[in-house]
Amino acid sequence: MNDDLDDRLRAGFQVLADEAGAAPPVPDLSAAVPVAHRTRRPMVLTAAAVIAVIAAIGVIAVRSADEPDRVSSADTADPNARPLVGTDWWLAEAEGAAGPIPIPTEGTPWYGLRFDASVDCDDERGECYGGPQIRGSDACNGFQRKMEVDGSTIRLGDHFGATTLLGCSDDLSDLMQAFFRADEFTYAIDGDSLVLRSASGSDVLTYRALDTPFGPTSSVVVDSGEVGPSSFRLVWSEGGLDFQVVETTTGEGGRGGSGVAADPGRINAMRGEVGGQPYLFGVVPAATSRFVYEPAGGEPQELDEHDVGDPDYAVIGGFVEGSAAQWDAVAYDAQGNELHRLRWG
Amino acid sequence: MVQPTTDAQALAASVYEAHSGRLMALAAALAGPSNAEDIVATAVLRAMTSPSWDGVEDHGAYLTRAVVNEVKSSYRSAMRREARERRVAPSSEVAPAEADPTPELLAALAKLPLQQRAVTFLTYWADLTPAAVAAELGIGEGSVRKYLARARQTLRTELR
Repeated sequence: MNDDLDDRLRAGFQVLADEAGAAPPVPDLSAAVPVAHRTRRPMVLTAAAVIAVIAAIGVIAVRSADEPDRVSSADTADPNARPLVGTDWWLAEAEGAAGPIPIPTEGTPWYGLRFDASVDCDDERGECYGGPQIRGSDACNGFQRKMEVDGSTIRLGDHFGATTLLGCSDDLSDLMQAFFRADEFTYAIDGDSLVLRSASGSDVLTYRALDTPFGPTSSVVVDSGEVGPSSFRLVWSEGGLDFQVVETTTGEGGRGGSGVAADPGRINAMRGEVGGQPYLFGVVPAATSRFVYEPAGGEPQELDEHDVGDPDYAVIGGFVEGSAAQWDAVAYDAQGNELHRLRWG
Repeated sequence: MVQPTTDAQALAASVYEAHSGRLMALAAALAGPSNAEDIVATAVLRAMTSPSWDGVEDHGAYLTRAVVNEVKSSYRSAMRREARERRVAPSSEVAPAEADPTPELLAALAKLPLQQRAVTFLTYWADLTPAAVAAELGIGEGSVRKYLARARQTLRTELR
């Protein structure tokens, strides 16, 4: 063991610790209400400021066009209830006049729903975007509609935003398309469950709160996180790596992603973006002991590979610096031999 | 400082008191001293208001992983920026006879991937065994040994 290195590291870490100073105050949990684990990142990262933001999200304040701010009684009756607005909900059960309708499970698209109320203003342009709205999937296409919350009734307004225009014909999409094209429905929240009921009472959709803006999965989640208003998730399922990104800024609601397939003996990698920050992800041979990202004109950066339990492959995922159009990704074995070099651009 | 008024708040306060110093040192090692307070404040709040918090048995390890995850999700390349800033403007408070070791260490640590940095910190500052580091970070002991070996190789080169 290199004693000099060990001593330098110990001393250096202690200096860093001393320079960091005292820890911030313990957070005041009495001011926070349970919310979906994912929250918007506040601009000022003090404990008090974060608590204030979370408390504000936790108490519903949806402004309707003609009425003063009103807190929905359906949300405050149960202190453990998830808030209607700001929670990411996923469809768990559906029931029509003829009875329960099966929900597709793992491996198929999940059906999400989100209510938002915040407003973002562009001062330079003098324009504001957002306001009370609902967006989600009707099991066929995505949709976005203005909304008003009146007690336990949600009234739907104009559609807006770009959506797909797929044609679907199955029991679930028939029910959900009709449901979200109607003028109103009622809602009730019980803990982390949201129950929506059509005006006729015959159609019922039950949603569960998610801790992430992505659907449930039993695949291997290699990495996940947030950058500003964007969330990402890197998921490995046999033979492929999916990079999922969701932009939850009100008025956009964009959801994107890309993926790479495993390629025997080679690197298959791409560089994506989360909130404007480059993120490199890829599949490498299991023999890889060291992986280096080399942007043209920039500093090489080493990324750790993740063991995903596959005998033939490992997975790479991490933020990198530099958005050079040309970059190399290099995999080395334990002896330092180059296994494969991937060049982009 | 807010006085605890509930059992949950009292538990949070005692857990925090037991681990805050180590969390600040970890955040300083991973993201630089000037970012440590922000990192710890955000990470601890997220952890303690998470639906998972009530079921956590090892609060120290849970908070360690929360800090690491917070650093990971930060889009600011804090370590590299801090290292550059220190190189350009060394502290005027450091006595000439004792050079501040942190600029070179920060620059060297910035070259390590996050997991290698975390493993190195827990090994050298917290004096944990590879098994304990593995438990703290929720990774395999083999991975800990691998990350530590690579980190030492890089640091030995960078800190010559």
